Amino acid sequence: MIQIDLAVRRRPEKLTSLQFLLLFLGILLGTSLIVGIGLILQWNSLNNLADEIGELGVKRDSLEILEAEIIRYKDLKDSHSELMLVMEDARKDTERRLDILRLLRTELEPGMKFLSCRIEPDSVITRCLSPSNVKVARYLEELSRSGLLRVIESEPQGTRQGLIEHRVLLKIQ
Amino acid sequence: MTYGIDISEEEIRWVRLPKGENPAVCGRILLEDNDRSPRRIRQVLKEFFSRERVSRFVFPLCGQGVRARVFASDKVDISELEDNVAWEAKFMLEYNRHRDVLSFDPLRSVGSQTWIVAVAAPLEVIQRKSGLFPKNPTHIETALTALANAVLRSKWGEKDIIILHLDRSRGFLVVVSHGNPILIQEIPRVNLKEARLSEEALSLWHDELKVRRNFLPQDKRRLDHFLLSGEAALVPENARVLGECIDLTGEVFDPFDGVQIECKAGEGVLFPLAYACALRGE
Repeated sequence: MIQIDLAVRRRPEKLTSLQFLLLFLGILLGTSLIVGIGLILQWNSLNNLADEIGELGVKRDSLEILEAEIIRYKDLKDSHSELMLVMEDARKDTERRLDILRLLRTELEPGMKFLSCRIEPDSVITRCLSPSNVKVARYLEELSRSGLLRVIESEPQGTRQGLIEHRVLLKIQ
Repeated sequence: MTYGIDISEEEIRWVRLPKGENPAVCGRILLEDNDRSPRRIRQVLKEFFSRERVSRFVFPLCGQGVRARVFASDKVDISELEDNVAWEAKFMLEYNRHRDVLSFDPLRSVGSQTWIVAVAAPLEVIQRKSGLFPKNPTHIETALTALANAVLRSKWGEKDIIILHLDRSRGFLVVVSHGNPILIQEIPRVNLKEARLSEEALSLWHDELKVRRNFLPQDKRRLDHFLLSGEAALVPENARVLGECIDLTGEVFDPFDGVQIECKAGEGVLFPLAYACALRGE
């Protein structure tokens, strides 16, 4: 038998009902398979996402703790800064008082004695003993010349230990 | 079950081989004179396929650029054999790989020579002819190789014969020698006007057969019988007269000789192509 074959495959023009049904079932099964695999993959990625969300939650909690610590640290830092300012102000005030006290003592004329002083924020009231009123006048003149204090009034308070007691009110410049 | 379906100008001839309890059957579907268009043939075939529940079938291809050639090769190696086929296809079959489909089959080895049959057909023709059927064919034969197969499977297969299959508008000539086809040719422009061949027609066919016999190698021209099939063989006298033209005993060729088949008496001569195609599909 001569085995000659010139057949060339061609696509069928129409599908039979059976072929159509088989094709439909094939597509349905294929689609279901793909969707199933897709859902499994999606499920896995969702599980991974859930794990990541859990890890992120833990990180978020620790970050919140860190944030609270930072806020507290900032509060402390602010308080510290305020305290430093207060300390600085106090230091300046103390230095000013010391300057005033040093001035009140160093400018005393020979024979004069320093008794006490009360330093207010804007004024100073001091008490001293002097052998004469002239020396008190010179003393007040030197205090005014310093530029730190200005004499408001000087009032004799009587005598003590043979010296004249003066009460002097000074304005802080 | 494989069907052999042969479409001629005037009718569709089909053969179904026996399988199980189903006997072999053959049949003819006449095409009306006023409508033999491809659309009509397609419609008739669709109805036939639906009625007979045809799933496997083979049909013979002929005409319009279908070429076949039998040649002997002294090559043994398969690659050298293929080179021979390529050469024959290129120069003898005018095979163009962009246009044609080529098929070949090594036949018997006689002495140091291997006989090979090669056929080529335009792809466009194959697709157009296949398009007449509602399904893809199992195989596509050529009418020439189908006729050769029909003879080889018959009692004439081992003899030296020349067979002419002659229908109203087509003719095929095959020469078989010692179980091997050695010449296969399609005869163009056939126009058989009468069932019984006239003097004029006989003269014409006498010349045609003599010329074609000269295509045979010198040592192959001694033949035993002339066989006639097709519509011309419906009149047995035609076979005898044509045989005498070339000094041979002429007989009609019935492919169903010795085969149990439901067929009208004397009509078997119409079915060698369809029968061989059915055999080819088994």
